[in-house]
Amino acid sequence: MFDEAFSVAAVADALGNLACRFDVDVLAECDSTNARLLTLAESGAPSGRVIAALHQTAGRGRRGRNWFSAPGDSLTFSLLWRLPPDAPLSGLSLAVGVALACALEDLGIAGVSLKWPNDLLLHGRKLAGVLIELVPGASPPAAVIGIGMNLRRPQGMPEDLCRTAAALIEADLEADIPLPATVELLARLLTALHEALITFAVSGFPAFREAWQKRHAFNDCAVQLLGDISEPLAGICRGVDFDGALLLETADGRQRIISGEVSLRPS
Amino acid sequence: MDLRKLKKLIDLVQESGISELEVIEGEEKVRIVKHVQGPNPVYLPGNQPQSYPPSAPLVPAPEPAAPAEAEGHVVKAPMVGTFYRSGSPGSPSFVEVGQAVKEGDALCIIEAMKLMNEIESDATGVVKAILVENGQPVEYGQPLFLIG
Repeated sequence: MFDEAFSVAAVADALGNLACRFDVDVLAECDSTNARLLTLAESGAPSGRVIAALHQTAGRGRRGRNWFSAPGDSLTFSLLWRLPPDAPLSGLSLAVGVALACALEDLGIAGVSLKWPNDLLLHGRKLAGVLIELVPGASPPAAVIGIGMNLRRPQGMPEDLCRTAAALIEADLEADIPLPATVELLARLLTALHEALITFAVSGFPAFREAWQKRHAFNDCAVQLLGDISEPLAGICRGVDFDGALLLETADGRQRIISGEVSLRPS
Repeated sequence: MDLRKLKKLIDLVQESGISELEVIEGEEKVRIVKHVQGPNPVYLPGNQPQSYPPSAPLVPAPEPAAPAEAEGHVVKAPMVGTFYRSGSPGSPSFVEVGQAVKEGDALCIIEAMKLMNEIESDATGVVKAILVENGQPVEYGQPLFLIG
């Protein structure tokens, strides 16, 4: 299932007609696909440049969090996308989450939801994370979209992670549909991102808002928001605003949240 | 005209150089004027994307710093988000007051919804002031650094 030959030619083959839109590098191991692609972007790499790695040794999550992965147990890749000069950026990360969720659903995978702003959950546990870094100084803006998805649980995964993490291999599939090979999975995700990014450049997040809300894991749930520095904030999730900001009903009224980690509040 | 479309139009006006936009669709007519304090009402009063309530919730929005008397180049926030002085918690700040910086040097990160934007200095000089506290929300166009 996940152990087939993963090569540049195989990815191009799986991409079919869209192969010409992407320039994919497949690495057995990489420190951070985002960091490497940022360097390429700064030297002028075009939209569609992709670095995929079967093992990422220094993956980055939001604000320096590590991404735990073992060789072949996860798919990590980064996509460079150059946006038109006046494209909105707000909500881009949520739109990417929607695109990935839809791609998985199209593969027959049930139980996928989104945690604000863009974590993919499988039956409530984290399946994939997204981190977008804008290319410093790029004008018009260019985004490096980094995605890490668990395929299998790595052996020796810390116990606390086991409780909160999911892996694609555990997905409930519709009858008779096998899980795709990693190369096929990458091609499907890239295809979905390609379409979503074109739509986003024209219409921004409003085009994705309804699809996001439909998959919102914590809608109307009591949650806690943690910032890097600030005190935790409790509230009830009330969906997202037109630009992707989380709407949180707090003791002080409804607030628009643009940063922080949301978790379900223990009842 | 639905709300989503209106908001999109407001965004368009705000992101562009134009100060006024009038759209007529059938019998509906919408006019959006950029100046909040102007005599013409802005459509959807109180719901202007650029005059959000404090964006990050945990702390009140900082007073807009106005280094009017200070001399130097002001680096402004290119987007709404949370201001971070380092790449990750625990790592050293990109710059300190008194430090010499060149054009293109990283000054800070602004994050919104897991979109990280590393802000570079657009001037060469010495960091005279850092106008926002680490972890605070910033608004579009808010002064962040004074480079002299």
